[in-house]
Amino acid sequence: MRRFRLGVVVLIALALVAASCGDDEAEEVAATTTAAPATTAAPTTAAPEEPLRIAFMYDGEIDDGGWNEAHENGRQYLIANMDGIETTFVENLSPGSEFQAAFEDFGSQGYDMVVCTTWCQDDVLVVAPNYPDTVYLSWGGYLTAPNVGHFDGATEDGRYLDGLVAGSQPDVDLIGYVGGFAIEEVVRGVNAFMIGARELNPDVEIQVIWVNSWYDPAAEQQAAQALVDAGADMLAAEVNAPAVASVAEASGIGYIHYGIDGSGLAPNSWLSGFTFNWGPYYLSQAQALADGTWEPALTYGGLRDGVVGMSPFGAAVTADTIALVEERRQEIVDGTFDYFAGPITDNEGNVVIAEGETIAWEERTLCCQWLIEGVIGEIPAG
Amino acid sequence: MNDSVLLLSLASAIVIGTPILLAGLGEMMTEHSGVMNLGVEGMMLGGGVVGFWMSSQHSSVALSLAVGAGVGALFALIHAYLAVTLRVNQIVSGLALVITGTGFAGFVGSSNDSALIYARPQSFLEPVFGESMQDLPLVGPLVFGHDWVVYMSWGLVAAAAFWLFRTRAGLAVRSVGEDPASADTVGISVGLTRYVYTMIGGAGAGMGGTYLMTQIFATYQHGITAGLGWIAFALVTFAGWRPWRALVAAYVFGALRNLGFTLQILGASVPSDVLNALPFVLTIVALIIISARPAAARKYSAPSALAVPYSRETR
Repeated sequence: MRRFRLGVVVLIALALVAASCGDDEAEEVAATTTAAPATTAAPTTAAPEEPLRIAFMYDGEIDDGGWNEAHENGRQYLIANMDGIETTFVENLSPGSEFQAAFEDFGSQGYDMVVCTTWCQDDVLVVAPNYPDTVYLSWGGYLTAPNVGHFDGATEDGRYLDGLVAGSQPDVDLIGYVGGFAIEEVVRGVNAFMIGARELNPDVEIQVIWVNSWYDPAAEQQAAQALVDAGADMLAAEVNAPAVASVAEASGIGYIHYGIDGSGLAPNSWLSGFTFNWGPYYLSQAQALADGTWEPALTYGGLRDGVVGMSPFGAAVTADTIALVEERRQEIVDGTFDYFAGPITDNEGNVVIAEGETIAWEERTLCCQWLIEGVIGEIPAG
Repeated sequence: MNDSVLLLSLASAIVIGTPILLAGLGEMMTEHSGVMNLGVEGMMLGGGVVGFWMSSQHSSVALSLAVGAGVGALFALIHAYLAVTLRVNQIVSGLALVITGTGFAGFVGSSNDSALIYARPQSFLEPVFGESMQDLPLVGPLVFGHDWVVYMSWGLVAAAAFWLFRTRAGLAVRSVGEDPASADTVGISVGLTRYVYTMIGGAGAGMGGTYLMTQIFATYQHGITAGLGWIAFALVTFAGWRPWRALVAAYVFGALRNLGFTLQILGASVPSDVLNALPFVLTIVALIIISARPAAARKYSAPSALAVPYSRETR
């Protein structure tokens, strides 16, 4: 019996050790980063007496090589470019009770701004009314409140340019595309990608697989491998993790990444990958709050707003292609080119955008519930 | 015909089934000695992350696998100490190991100066057999298209089956798992046996995790095993504690993981959640079938003393 009790004590000790390891991480997570003196131009207003306290919430790890890393880069940009702020962040939160608890925590601690970098509209709207002095920013939402604003990046702007790069590659008949969920944003991205690809390679097809997860390295690897087995000559990904890059590299075929410069993940396969640059947006929101001019808004930023940019291109991308991509980028910024200009047919033969029509910028986020002609796959019901 | 989607999917099932087999075979050895270690997932991650780090530093795949196996065995040593020496509840201890291993992997994975997700293994294994063998219809990709680790895993299955059921030492292990008191009376060290076989289990998990990260995924990412450790644990029961059955079961489970994506390419869509649950559903079905037949139940049941701590004073 004594031995048994000893065992329990040791187990508890072990649990404490494990917990304290966890604490290390928690400390790291909760470490408050005080802004270093800005090395760039001084901010337009004097730093307020009380630092502006800003919290960031991530649904994964900040070094995931994808979505969360791009947002973390935005936070670092904010730290580097604004005086008088204190930022903190929490990783690995799940939607629902964890999001709500974090919103509550930061609200009750008197944070001035809380940024949720993934879909959290449902949770933020529950908590935000309780803390009217805290401003909440949530990614991808559409219902604002007096202290809730939303932001989103125009994936399709970047995907169209990535598509041009994909279409420029010789001897590519089938592009394997690993998508997370078949939601509008991702489908819109696939469609824009295809428009770009077919501009240069009119016969190319895209086989799309949904892994029904934003972060599942094993599933992404297997989906990518299944696409290569099915004859894909190139891989593109719209998931948070870089497993698809590994498969492309191992298979010796081209690879197009999503949301961040991932050239280090697949040095030989790397072609391109648009980037999300959240930093300037975060800076503008924090600055507006400091100036007392903040208003709840829906911000949808693309190439024109600098929210979407491009990574360095891979070695297999020719100067001609780069010049074309740059030309199109400039035309999109100037508003003289619209890749969604009709006629556009879906992969079931229906004309979804008629001749002379397009998808207005304000209605972009409602599109698309159809896959464009040439895409093999379907949008699962429900 | 060798590039049909279905056949390639089966070949992929063997690849993804290999880490499941290595970890499951290890756990099977552990359980035959009467110790249940639920911590397979944690040992795969914990051993695998160190093995992966090794592979980014050194070009020897064998060295990486050995390092991964060694670290996995060290994790298992924690469980052995708790379960055998201190006789704590093995379920709690095993679950603690899952959490510890996962946390350890996350810590090692991001605490380096350069995060491990941007590291790459220095070398990759090539198939053992030449092109001409691999081009044989059907058996080419399925049998001759693999690296030496896959063939080693087949060898380990044969060795485990022989060792457990055809040698005196194997009989001793099984007697420790079935009736430790009797084994003790004939002079077999119950404690030592359980320590050794628990660590063998950890080595299998660590090696499986290393193979998964260095040769299959060629990348480390947080939570990369994604439940494969749990599938390996279920595999032991599904296989009725028999090595040869584990070989088949590992590839069945591997195929199930690929099936969803293959089906999407072929145009049929089955929710991935359903497919992810199938290994466990199949395990339960296997348990029901076995328990309904008394003869089978005797042959393919768990060791009688599984997860029961042994204490000489209280027998």
